[in-house]
Amino acid sequence: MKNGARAARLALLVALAAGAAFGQLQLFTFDGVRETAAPALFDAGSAAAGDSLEIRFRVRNQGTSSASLTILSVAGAGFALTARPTLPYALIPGAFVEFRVGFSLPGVGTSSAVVTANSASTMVRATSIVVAEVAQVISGTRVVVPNGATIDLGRIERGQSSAQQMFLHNPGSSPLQVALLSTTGEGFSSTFGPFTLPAGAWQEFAVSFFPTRTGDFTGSLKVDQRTFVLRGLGFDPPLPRPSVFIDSGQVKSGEQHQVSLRFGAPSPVSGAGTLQMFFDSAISTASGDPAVQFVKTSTRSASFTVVAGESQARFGTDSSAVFQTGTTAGALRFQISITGQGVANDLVLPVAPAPILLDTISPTRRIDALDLKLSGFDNTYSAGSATFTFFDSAGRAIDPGAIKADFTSDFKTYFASSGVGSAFQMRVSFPVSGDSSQVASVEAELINAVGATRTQRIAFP
Amino acid sequence: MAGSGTAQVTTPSAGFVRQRDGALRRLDGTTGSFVLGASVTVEPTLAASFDASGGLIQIPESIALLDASGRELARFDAPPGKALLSGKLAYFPSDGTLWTYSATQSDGGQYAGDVAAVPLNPIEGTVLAIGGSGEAGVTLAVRRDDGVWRLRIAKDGSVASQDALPADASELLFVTSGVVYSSNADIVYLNDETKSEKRWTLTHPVLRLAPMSAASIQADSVSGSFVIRLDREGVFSIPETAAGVTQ
Repeated sequence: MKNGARAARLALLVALAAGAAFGQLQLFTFDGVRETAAPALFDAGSAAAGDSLEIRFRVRNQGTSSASLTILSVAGAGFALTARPTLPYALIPGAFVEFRVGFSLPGVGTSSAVVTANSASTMVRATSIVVAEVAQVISGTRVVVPNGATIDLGRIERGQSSAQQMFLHNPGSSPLQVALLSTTGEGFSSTFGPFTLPAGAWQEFAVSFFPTRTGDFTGSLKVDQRTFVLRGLGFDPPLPRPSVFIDSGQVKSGEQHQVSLRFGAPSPVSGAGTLQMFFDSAISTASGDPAVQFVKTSTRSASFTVVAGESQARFGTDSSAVFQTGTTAGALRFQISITGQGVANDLVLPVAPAPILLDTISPTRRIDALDLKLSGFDNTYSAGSATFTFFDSAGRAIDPGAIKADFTSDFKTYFASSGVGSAFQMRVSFPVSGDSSQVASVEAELINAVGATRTQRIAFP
Repeated sequence: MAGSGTAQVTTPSAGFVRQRDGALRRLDGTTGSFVLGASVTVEPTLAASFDASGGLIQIPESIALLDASGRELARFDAPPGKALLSGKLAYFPSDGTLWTYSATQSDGGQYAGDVAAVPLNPIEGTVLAIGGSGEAGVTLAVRRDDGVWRLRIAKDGSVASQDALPADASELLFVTSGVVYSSNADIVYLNDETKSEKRWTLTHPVLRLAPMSAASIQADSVSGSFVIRLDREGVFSIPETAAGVTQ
């Protein structure tokens, strides 16, 4: 009994409080910036038939004590509460709570509704009108774009433009004045002046997208009361694949050449990559040749950059890169690797087997011997046989005439551990019985798998 | 003549090159097919000059004498400042002294270094290059207000004779058979023996010339380092490491 009496007292207090709330809660309209006391009849404007118009209201506690919002309703054709607080909702003095009323009619017409918050109420009126529909062509069919939907203008190369074919449609039975058709946002444009669209007519127009940078673009298309989101993506086109050019039609062992990377037309974009050189040896016993390399890096890789508008790649500040062909028969392969675009073999240069090439020849004379220092390379790694003929000052061959020698094992041993490909220095010493000063000159012939290399007559100093 | 010869096959050397960071490296291989060898010295090299018998290099506060393989035979204290080197001679502009260096091998295989002053009277002008040897006489290239002159120095240190060199010479070297000088991007070899001239052109002005072997010169420019062979046409690029090759 004691508890029952207490519950009855609390219920009475709540009822008294509610009674006070009914007098101190007032209705306001809110346009997003300003709050205005709701008039007896509030004209909320118009919406396109089928579209939704959202009307914002506020209930504010104008009293000096807390109050509770317990009744919130809207009654009228086409109107409905779209956002509301959970009731009851307590409001301290000065506080407010917002709720929203949506209006949408499928056809043309005007409707009104009573909006009630506790004891406060207002009449709201809105009109459904005909506005132009916006349509996209999808798979050959015009598809109406819902109000607020996104129109994707796709991926477009930076600096290029695209025009999206669109249509305006008058769904009504009388001519329609289109007063506004405009775009906002970087990269989007559409020019179309005010015009009248006959009943049921379709009118083509275009929205252009011109990205001047890479990345996402967002804008809007406004057609009278309707607003659509515009989206697009600007991107850089892939770097065109350059061609590999060598400063010579053919290459041989022991040479330095320049390689450049050229485009058929100025590159539309900047980029970077790597030019790699591979060597396929034709010699089974010599798989590698350290002399095959780019001289700037002492490696088989050279980085390059491409500047938009230029027709040639740059190696550092140079328009070409110097490379060495090495001293081994085989084939040089150049492979361009463009950052983010993969690799491709772009040029193969055969390096043919050749007779021994002599780079320097240094004869020296000792009292009891003659020395010949020959440096050069044998890109077949098959050197060994040699012939030397010595001559006196009258140009006569000195006995025993041509001296044959076989240095095959010397070369084989050297090539097996060479760190410079087939480049070699051979020092040959010939003991002299008698006066070495009588020997004036020498001719040497070195033989490899391809053929013989004969020196000119070399005078001893 | 004996019936046959004996052969020794080894790695060919194109000389020694000094890199941008001062490292001195052997340049292996043949002309146009070079491979950089290991550094010859631990210390940075300030100047280097090589011929068929070896080289002389300046490292901080010292001069080192190397054999033809790059092995150090002897090291000597040196006056301050950058030296001009040629063969076994070193000229120090800071005090105007000229020295010749040598090393002799003992029975035990050890090398003992020797250094001797070469008489040289005070020189008017700026010495650009030195040449010759202490025994056979010394040659200096000197820039004066009236041009560049080649001075042949007598054994008592006086000037024995002088003749004009091209006034536009900037870098200059004496070689066995003449003089090599640079003028902007051109390298010119004046062969005194054949009275001929040979010319090479780089893509950029020459910054430095240095003898890298008996018959080759290292020429540096901003675009890289190059081998100039006095007996051949063409300019050959020297491979670079990450530090690069230059003066």
